Amino acid sequence: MNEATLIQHCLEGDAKAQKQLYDLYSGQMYSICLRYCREAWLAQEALQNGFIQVYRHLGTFRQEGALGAWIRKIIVRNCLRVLQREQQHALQFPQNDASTEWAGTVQPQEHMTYESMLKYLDLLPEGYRMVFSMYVLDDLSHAEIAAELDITESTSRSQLKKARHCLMGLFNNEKLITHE
Amino acid sequence: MNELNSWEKAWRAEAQRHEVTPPPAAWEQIAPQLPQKEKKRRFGFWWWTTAGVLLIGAGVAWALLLPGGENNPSIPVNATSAGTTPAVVQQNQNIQQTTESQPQEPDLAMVSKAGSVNAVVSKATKLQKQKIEHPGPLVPSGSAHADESEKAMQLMVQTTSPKELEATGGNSTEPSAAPKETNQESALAYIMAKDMAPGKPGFKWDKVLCPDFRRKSQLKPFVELDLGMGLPFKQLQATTEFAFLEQRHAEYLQPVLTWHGGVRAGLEIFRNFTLSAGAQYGEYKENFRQVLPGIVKIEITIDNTGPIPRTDTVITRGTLFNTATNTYRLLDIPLLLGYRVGRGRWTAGLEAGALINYRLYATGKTVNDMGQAIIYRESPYFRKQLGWSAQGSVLVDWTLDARIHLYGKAGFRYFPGTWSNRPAVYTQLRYQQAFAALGLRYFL
Repeated sequence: MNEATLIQHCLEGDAKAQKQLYDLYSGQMYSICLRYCREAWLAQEALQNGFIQVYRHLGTFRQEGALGAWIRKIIVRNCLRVLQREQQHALQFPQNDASTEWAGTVQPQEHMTYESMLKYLDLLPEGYRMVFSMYVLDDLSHAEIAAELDITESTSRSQLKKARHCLMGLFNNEKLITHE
Repeated sequence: MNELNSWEKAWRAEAQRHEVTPPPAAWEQIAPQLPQKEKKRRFGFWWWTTAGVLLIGAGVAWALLLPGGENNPSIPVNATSAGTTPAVVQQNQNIQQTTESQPQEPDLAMVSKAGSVNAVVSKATKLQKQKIEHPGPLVPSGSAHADESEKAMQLMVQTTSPKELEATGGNSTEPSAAPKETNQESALAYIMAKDMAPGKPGFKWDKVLCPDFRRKSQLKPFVELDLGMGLPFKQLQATTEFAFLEQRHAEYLQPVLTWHGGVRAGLEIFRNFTLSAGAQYGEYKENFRQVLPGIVKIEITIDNTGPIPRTDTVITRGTLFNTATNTYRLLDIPLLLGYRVGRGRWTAGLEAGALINYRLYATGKTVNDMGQAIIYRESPYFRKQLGWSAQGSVLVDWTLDARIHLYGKAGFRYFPGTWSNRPAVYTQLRYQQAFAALGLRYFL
């Protein structure tokens, strides 16, 4: 069953097709939920809310882009909502320029395990991590990030730039420690 | 696609490849909340509206184009003059009397050369009645009927056989006497009816439904103004942020009310077509309900009646329901093409075209999270913008006199673009509008 047929069957209320769509994307989406929410119960809640919205509004999906990308955006949005509710405070976006402190020349490894990648991301300040994760890993545009986090697009750009510098710095420091 | 370094691309690929199986309880929570059956009603309304407008238009056109069947007795086409029914004889006698009073009528003289034929049908009866009630030329010179009589005469010459002429005493070479003119009138009527009555041999719809381009091209300039009201249908759509969509739907309070007025100048071409352009102004006013939970209301009462002033403070926390207002204004440049069917005092028509719109969000009155009133002059969500819309309508026209026409019309206006245009807003708004208007057209 191709994607268009699967969507059609889901819209018609076919329970088997709905389960098939869930099985197809739930693993990838739950991974995203865990990355944002950290806590398994929060991640599960974000996943559930996200998929319910996906099914309810599947008719508005225009099939111009990939279904996976569309679902991913909904899931990310639900993760942020769950986080905002739980944390009860806005994300902090440090304004000091960290690039001079952490700048380095060694590029991070391209072939890195998912767990190693998360280890680096966890070392970033929360604002950097969110913007980097949304832009690089989940393919959201700056406009979308700005709307989600209630910041301006220029803030989103600057946070991404700082997150990149920070990651480079972290990677270089680790290299130095390893070599010593 | 976002711009990424090579290692970032690798990270993204790794992140999107990574999967973690969710606990089975997640699906058990999701499944009961899924829509089981979605009815496809999204376009149903538009199909029914379009079908309704077309049906009404077709009905009006049919009623105006068809000659009155019940009032006009149908006579067998192949009957000979000897077998003419008494009713027809009576009518023929009436015509004879009127033609005798005006023997110099040129069209009838031409017809008299052609001989006679056999029958009349509804159109003929109509023409005869006109003749009886209004003594004078049966076929006024210079009118559309004059063209038809010429055509009738030509057809007569081609179709009347010598035997028929002999049977009725007709002579194709000599002018006939007065009694023969009765048959000649019938002949004219027959030929015309043969062309114009539905269901008769030789009848062609295209002669009725299509404009007659053989007429002299008449370009009649006119100006018109109309005033109308509309009932727009508010459409909300979301890309991914559905919570906003649900909130907007929850705010729905009542249909949007609109009015519009316009003035146009145009040309009537070939008596059937009109082409007009002008300017139009309209307002859309929307009332909606704001629901603001968690509002804190503090009431302080100071009592000065006693020797020592006393104050009472009441703090109430609750949900504030507020009726808010938005007003949009539209400046339009309509370009409309019309087609009118039927003749006489009452006619029907169709009109379609495009309108260039300058949309302006005028004012909005809402409350903020503190419960304080806010008046917007212009919001970043709805800013001035240029757009377009398509419009189609059915109209009924009443000829007051040669220059002044009054008309009423009903139609539908379709806006393809959204009215809210901030990219980061996930709820997009637009209106589609059914409308009715009254207008006055003055031919210069």
